[in-house]
Amino acid sequence: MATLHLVNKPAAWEGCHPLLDAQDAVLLIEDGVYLAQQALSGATFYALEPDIRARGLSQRIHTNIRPASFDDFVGLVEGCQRVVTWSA
Amino acid sequence: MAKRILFLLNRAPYGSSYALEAIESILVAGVFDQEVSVLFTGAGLYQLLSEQDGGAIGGRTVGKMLGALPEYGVTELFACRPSAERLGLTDANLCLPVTWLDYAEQRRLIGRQDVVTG
Amino acid sequence: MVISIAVHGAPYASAGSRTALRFAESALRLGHRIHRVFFYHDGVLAAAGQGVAPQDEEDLHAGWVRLGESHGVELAVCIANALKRGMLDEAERDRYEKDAATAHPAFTIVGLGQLIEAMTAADRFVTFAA
Repeated sequence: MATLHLVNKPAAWEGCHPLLDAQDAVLLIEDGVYLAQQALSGATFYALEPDIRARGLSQRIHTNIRPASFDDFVGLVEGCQRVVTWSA
Repeated sequence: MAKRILFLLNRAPYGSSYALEAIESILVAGVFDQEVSVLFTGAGLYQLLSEQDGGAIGGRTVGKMLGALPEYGVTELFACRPSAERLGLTDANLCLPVTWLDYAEQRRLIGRQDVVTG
Repeated sequence: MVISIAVHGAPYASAGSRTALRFAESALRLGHRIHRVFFYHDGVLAAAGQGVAPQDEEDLHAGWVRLGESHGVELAVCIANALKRGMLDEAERDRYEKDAATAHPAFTIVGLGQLIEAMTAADRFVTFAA
């Protein structure tokens, strides 16, 4: 993984999407997990599991998006070379 | 050892204090002898509009603050060309010279960084 | 891995402060080191020592204090952003002749140089947006 992108709002996706590299990972957090209801392309996608559960989205997450715990979040940060945070 | 730090500015300048406070941190990064660059994208491009007057609403002028970046050693100023086309902005509208980057060039810029922040 | 964290959002108004706290707790539990948490923009309000959280809601301020006091994590608050939002420690209260020190002593009020140092001293710098 080259870059880990954090997306915390659906509106932040517009800025993030064009700059994704195939080697990158995206972690959807907070309101960003609403994006996980659809297929997303351009990188490897994760969504923060407590944020999914809080919002009642557990049954609505698209199959190409993997749920991630906070420990997974730390692992993703360790595995990347830099973290880019998108907001709007 | 100097780190490569990219500041990604994507917010319009006066709706909140984000732009102004982010610029304050960029100026300090310049003083600390890091390899600092700035990428203006989306509504962040409005920070570069010439003829801003923050005094009209009782604040500082963001464009004027950005004008101090070169004095602080921050000379790598990039801007998103597709954003500018969408917003109808060209060099003639801006208060500072920037290097225009398409998406592939922005991906490469990010790929060279140690730190990316806002 | 050495991690520095920036928190940009106010507790409660934004989810970012809670997300950052959970991330920091996980990182410490997994054996990583947090070099510094730098509170910037409205994030500085996490230092508010006079807040009273409702009983059925997590006390985010207390969570940060616990991270600072029990785990020795440096909680750094940007001075410029803190002063204008009414976050003062005892030294700033005295300097500006205000009535109260509003920031909890687990937080230190620092200059922006500490933000840049947080970036350069860590293996990863993670920003939690508002």
